[in-house]
Amino acid sequence: RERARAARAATMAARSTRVGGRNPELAGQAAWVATEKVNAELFTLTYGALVRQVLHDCEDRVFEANKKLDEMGHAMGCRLIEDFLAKTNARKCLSFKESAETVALVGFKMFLNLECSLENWNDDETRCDVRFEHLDPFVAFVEVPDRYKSGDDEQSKLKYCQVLCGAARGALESVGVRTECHFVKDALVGDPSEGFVMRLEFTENVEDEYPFED
Amino acid sequence: EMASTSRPSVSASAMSYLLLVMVRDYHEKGEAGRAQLETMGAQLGARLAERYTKDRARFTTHTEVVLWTCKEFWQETFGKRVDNLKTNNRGVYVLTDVAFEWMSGLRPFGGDTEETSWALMMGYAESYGSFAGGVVRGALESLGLRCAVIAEPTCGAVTSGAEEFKPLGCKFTVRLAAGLGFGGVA
Repeated sequence: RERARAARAATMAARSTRVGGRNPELAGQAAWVATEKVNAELFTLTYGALVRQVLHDCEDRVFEANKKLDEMGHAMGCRLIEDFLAKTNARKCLSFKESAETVALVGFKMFLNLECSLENWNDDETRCDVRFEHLDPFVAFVEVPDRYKSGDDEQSKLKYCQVLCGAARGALESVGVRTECHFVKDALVGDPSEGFVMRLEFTENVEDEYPFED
Repeated sequence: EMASTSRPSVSASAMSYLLLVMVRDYHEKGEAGRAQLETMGAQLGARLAERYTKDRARFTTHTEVVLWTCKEFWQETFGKRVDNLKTNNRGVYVLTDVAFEWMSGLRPFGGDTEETSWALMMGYAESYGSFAGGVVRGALESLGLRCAVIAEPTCGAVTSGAEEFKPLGCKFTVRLAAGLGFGGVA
């Protein structure tokens, strides 16, 4: 029944990353279908409560709050990597491009049902933009107060979705890849018509060490 | 699947990891952290209750509110209905979940002995409890019931050996504030 369908989808997910001719979109879709789900609203409102509390704890020092959100995201990324590898049976990525695709097209899809595309690659394929169709699980019905949107300095603007960047960074770090990750277009504090675009850039390989946090 | 196919969903894992990192972070801050978790929970609970009751007729009695919380609210938020509800008919309600979804991933960890590992786990569970207790309080208060909520994680007796681990439960004690409105209906 439900379990059989989930099991078939999980097998599909495993096959599509393993067999030659990788199709990360398919793997992502299959993994999403297979996963147990909850109402997105619960996630959105919980995350909203967290952001509000973090801002309060930081006494509205937005720079600190952004850093905190990034750290929390990083902690999440490190923790969910084992779960991810187990569910998708993903093989080792042979290039940064493959790593980026795995995070964006499989990871973001299976955990949050996010649709995105990778574009604007540089020549040596160490940097790209991840363009999201939407970031509804984080931003649905969210309005950022003006005081967190103003200022010429990018650092004084609230990076509401920074957790997602931290998670990508943490997950990649856990498999040996250090990156820089931040939103270059953020519809919540900037031009809504420009949507959400995350820049993901390879910085260095992590020295061979036990990849998982305790 | 809990969520209906017509409503947006996220993976249960994502929710679980969000909770984990939130609770862990504030747990590190001791009593102050628990208070902050309770506050966050209350905000969340109030918003959830507003959303869930948007298209619903207003409640007219305390009992209706509590029953709704045990059924619809619990189902949407904690994945199931409350297992058991007791009251002394004088403003105290005890809601018990034999296995509490939000604590389902918790296991004894980190200590040198089994006892200390359990103690560490129960410490975390109490922080989860602070958050969940806040959620329940926020929901009830947004529906007109001023109250205090204490959440106590519960576990089976500590057993050594390879017996299957029993997930943690949680007991919520709700005390309604005196002199509530609702047109004088108890």
